[in-house]
Amino acid sequence: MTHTAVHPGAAPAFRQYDHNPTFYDEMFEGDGSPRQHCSDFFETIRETPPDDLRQIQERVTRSFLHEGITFTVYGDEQTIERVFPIDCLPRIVRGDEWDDVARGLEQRLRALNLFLHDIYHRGHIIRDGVIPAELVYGNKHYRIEMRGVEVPHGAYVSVCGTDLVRTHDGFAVLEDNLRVPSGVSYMLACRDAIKRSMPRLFRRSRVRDVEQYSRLLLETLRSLAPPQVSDPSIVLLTPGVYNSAYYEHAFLARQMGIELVEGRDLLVHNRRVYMRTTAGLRQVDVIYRRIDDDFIDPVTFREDSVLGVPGLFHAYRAGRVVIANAPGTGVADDKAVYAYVPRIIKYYLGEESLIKPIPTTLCREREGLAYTLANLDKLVVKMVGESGGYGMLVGPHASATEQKEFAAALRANPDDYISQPTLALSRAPCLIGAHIEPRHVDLRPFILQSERTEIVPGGLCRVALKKGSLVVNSSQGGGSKDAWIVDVPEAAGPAAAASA
Amino acid sequence: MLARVADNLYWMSRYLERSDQTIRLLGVQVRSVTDNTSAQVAAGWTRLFRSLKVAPPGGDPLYGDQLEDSFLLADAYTLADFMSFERDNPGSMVSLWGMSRENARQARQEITQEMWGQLNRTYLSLRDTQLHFFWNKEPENFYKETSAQIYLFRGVTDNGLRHGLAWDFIRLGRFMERIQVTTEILDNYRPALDDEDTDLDWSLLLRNCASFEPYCRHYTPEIDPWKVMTFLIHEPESPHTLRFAAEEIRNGLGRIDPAGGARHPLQAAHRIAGQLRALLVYGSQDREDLAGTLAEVRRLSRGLHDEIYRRYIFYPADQALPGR
Repeated sequence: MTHTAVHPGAAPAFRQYDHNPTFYDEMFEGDGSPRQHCSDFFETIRETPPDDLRQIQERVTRSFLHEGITFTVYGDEQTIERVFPIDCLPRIVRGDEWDDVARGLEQRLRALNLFLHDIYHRGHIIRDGVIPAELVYGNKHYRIEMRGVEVPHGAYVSVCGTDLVRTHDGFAVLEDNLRVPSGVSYMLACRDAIKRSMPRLFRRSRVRDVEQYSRLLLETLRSLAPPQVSDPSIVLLTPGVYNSAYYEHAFLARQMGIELVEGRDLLVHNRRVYMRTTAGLRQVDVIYRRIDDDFIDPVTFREDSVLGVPGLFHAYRAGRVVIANAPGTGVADDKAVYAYVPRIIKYYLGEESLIKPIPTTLCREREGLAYTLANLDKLVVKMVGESGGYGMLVGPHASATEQKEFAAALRANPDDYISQPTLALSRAPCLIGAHIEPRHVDLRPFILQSERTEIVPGGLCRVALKKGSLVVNSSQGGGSKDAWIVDVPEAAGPAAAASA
Repeated sequence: MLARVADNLYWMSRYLERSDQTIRLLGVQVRSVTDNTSAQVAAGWTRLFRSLKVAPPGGDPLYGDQLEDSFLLADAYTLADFMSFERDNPGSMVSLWGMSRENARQARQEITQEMWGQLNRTYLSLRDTQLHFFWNKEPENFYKETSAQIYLFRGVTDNGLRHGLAWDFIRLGRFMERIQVTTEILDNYRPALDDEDTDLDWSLLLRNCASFEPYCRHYTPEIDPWKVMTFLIHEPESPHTLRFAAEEIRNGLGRIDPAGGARHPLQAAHRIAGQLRALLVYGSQDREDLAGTLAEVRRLSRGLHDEIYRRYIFYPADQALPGR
């Protein structure tokens, strides 16, 4: 059933827009009228001929191609470079709503960093029975080697990318990405492309800036350097050109003016880390690593890693070099630990979680398993330790056979699964062909934490471009769009009246 | 700068220079079809493949003269296509651009957005081009326009990139490649100097080396084979002569490592660069020494490449400890 609102004078582009009240719509009220903070944007788009919109879309896509913002698909015959799908219509979020979200994100990351410090030291939270020991110590991302290591400013996680979704009840955290979150370059590239293709509309819309991200990231990394080093040498460690996020690594290194190094460019001597330059070896003080824990150091972690640097972890433990994010942060963004985050916040900060959690059922508990199995057709079931949209079942979208197979897997290894209610993810207008149609979206803001916390207003807005799909991951047909945090001018109230 | 990145920039630049040389040779060869005999055209193809050290689709030109007949058999279209768009041929124009671009991709943090944009855009358009799009119209123009894209890249590089180490390695790569390819081109024209019967058009050599106009300014448009040869070897002010490249290489090394070229003992790379320059500035310009001079340039420039790598790129770590 569709709920196409027929407005007199509705623009051709919006004619097929499906106003379905089940989902929160980022641009429209329930009655199909544009939200106040989107009205100017809506008017402008409405008056824009669909052909012009398509041209904007093509320009934006072409600028991504020329920039080299592509990912490589390796086929049998030849390798193909594809552009990341980008939608030219921004998602618009009201400034005051954003401010609430930002406070919640800051609170959450502060608590999670305290949690990480605790579990790698005395483990009070476990002794006090707030979280089961096996969830922490039995977690495959728990790094015993990190025990007792002092991390500058307690910032285990200094770069975080939290996935937020919105429903009729407001924003909720879907997932904390505390290891090597990516996507920030797409946020910046998207912004750059959109600014160029709709400059006047952009200026009128009072969008908050995101361009300072690279500067803030550099400041964050600087503040992590060992105190005795006055002018720290900072590098970004990438797995190399074949990694799907290589564009981002090169982009950030260029923006920050730091070296982009691979494992083979670094070596450890006498517990100091050096990079090979054309003028000999040069010591490195801070490593912003974009490779997983497992691959950092073949001596300490996976011995078959060719991406890492032998001896790096020893230099790290000796305090001669800083690695950001610290190894072992994955334990805190685990899908089972997620269920405990409100309690973690309460335990360390004595505060209620400002962002509402999604009710999460642990299948490791007997009642949890029974409840999940009984409601498989209504729930989203996720595999603990998986990411990228893999290993999950979206109950309402799954066939009976799929549900049956998943139930068997669930019974076999209940510890590996959690379940959550299927959320009615919000939708935002997207240009699909010549029409504008709603698609499900999420939002990944980026949070930087060391001495202080910085959050750039905005984030990577991911879109499930397939109709009806809830999966926004780029590996599974997702795209992205710009996210505008806009400050709405005060409505004509008493002040305006007085001055009139 | 990271040694690995210097390596990437150096090769980005070498591949691009090689592509430039290939494009120019192809442009000249395609043009020569209009006013030369078929024997001359065939000889032109032979020189082209030998200069670029690429095996033509019919066989290897480095072994045996009997293969020259194959150029008469294969038509110009096939040979031009092979050297322009054949992906299985690592020496084709599009392959060379691809290699240059891959190296640039791995050195993205050192080059400007405009440099990358120019390289990437041109590559994408070459990738989607086919010979038959323009072959029957104006093939020479296509090669000229592609060449212009390389000049544009160099302009963007010289005017946008800081003239620091990255720029030095890019420039070094360009002139190292230029001196080597030009030496091969000259060596393939050399036998014609002694051939009484030849009716070779020596202006083609000047055009191959982008030096027709500089030559005419220096002498006159009257083309004398020996003057052409010595001009392309010893003239100091035209950017495509061996002498010019040798000066650039020596100056570049001086900027990359000022101490290595000034303090005792001199670095091996600096010594070789000095020898190369001395040979081209002060060396013999007698006719009987020509073959020896070209062989020596070839030997020195190869040795120079090896020494640059030994000193600045793949040095043993224990010799470089410690430093900040």
